[in-house]
Amino acid sequence: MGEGPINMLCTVPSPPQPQYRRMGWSRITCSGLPRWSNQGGRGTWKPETASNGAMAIFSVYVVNKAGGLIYQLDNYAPRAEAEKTFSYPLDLLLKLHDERVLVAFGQRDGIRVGHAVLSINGVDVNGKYTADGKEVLEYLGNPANYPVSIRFGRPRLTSNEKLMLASMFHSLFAIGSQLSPELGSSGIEMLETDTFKLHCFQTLTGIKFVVLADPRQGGIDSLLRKIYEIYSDFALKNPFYSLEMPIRCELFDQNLKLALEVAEKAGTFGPGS
Amino acid sequence: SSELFTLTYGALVTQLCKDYENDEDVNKQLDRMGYNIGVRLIEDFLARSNVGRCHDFRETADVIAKVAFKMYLGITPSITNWSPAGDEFSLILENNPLVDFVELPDNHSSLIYSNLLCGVLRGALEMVQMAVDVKFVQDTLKGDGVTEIRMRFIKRIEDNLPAGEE
Repeated sequence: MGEGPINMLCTVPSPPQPQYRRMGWSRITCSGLPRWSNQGGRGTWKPETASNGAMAIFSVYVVNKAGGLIYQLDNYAPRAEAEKTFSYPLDLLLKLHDERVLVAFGQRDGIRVGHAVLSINGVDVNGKYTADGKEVLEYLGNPANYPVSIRFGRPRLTSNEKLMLASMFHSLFAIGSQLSPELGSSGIEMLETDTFKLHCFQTLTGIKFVVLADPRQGGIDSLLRKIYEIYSDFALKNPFYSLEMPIRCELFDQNLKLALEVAEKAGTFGPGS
Repeated sequence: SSELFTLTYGALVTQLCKDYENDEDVNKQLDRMGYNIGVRLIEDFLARSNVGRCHDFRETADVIAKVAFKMYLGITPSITNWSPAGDEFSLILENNPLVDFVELPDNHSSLIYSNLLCGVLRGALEMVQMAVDVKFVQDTLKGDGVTEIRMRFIKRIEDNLPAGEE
C-alpha cells in the first residue's frame, strides 16, 4: 500500500549558472564594487568567504489552499553582475524578451547569455526602456551614445512572475500525486536540480510551505515544520490577519528569518533531509 | 493560572448578552466566534501535535479528546454513547474550565454558556475536510451532573481537498 510520502526526484537540467563555477573556489560573487577593469582579460575577483553554507537557503514561499502565493522571502546573496564600458559597435547580441533586454549571444568577462541589461551609465533601466523613457535597443543602436557603460546581471523574478510560478507549482504538486503509480501518494515533496533542491510540505489543511535550498543543506524537513509553527503563531494568532490573504506581519518576517539563520548554521552538510 | 481565562470568557458572554438581549442570538454569536477560533486553532494544533490525518471518526474522537482537549484546556473528556453507525458520539466533561465559578441566572435559561466550544470544534474539523454537527446535550450549569457534548459526522468535504488526499 502506498503509505507515506513518495519523493519525486525530478532532475531538471539547470540553465547556465552565471554566478558561480566550481573551479577551485566554491562560489564567486562580485559584491560591493560591481566594476572591474578589463586588464588582461581576467579582472579582479572577490571570492565569497564561506564554503560553509553562507546563504544556503535561497527562498521561502507559502502557498494557500487555492494556489495563490501568500508569502515570499528571498535570502540569497546579490547575484553576479558585470559592468563594462563599451564602444560602438556592441559585440554582444541583445534581444528583447518578456519586457527585458537580454543577451542573446556573446559571452565575455562575466557577461553571459541570459543576462539582462540592468543599468546604462549608472542609471537603472526600466524593463526595455531607459529611465528617461527611451527604448534600450534603440539607444544602444545609435553610435552617438557611445562610449556607454552597461551593467549586466541575472534578471530577478518580478512579483507577478513569482505569483504565476507559485500557482503552477500548486498544479504540478497535484499532478505529481495523480501520476504516481502507488495509491495514496502525496504530491511533489522534493525537486532536485544541480544547483538547488526544492522542498515542499503540505499541511492537512492544504497550505504549502516551499523552501529552495542548497542541495547540501540538511535539516529542511524540520525547518518546514518550524515554519508551520511560526505561521500558526505569528500569522494565525494575529487577529488582523485574514486567512488565505497575503501575510504582511512583521513578527512573522522576523521570526522566519531567525529560523532560516538557525537552520543554515545547524544543517549544512548534515544528514540528508 | 486559568482565572484570567475564565474571567475573560465570562466578560465576553455577559457583554454579548447585553448587546443581543436574546439568548438564541447570543448562542449563535458564540458559535460563530468559536468557528473563527477553530479555523485558526487547527493549524496550531497540527503544527504542535504532529498527528496525521484521521481516516475514521473513531480516530478523530480519540484525537479530539486525548490530544486536543488536553493541549488547550488541560482536561481529558471521555468518549461514550457511540451510535450504531459509528457516526455520532458524546464527549463527557467532568469539569469545564470555562464555567468555574459560574451560575446561570433564571432569565438566561436557554443560554448555552460554553457554546464557543461547539464552534471551535466545528471550525477546526471543517478545515480538515470534515463536516460535523456539535451541540451540548447536558450542562452542569443547568443542573445536569456532567457536561455532555454530542458530535455527529455529517459528511466529508470533497471540494477543495488538498492534492494527494485522494
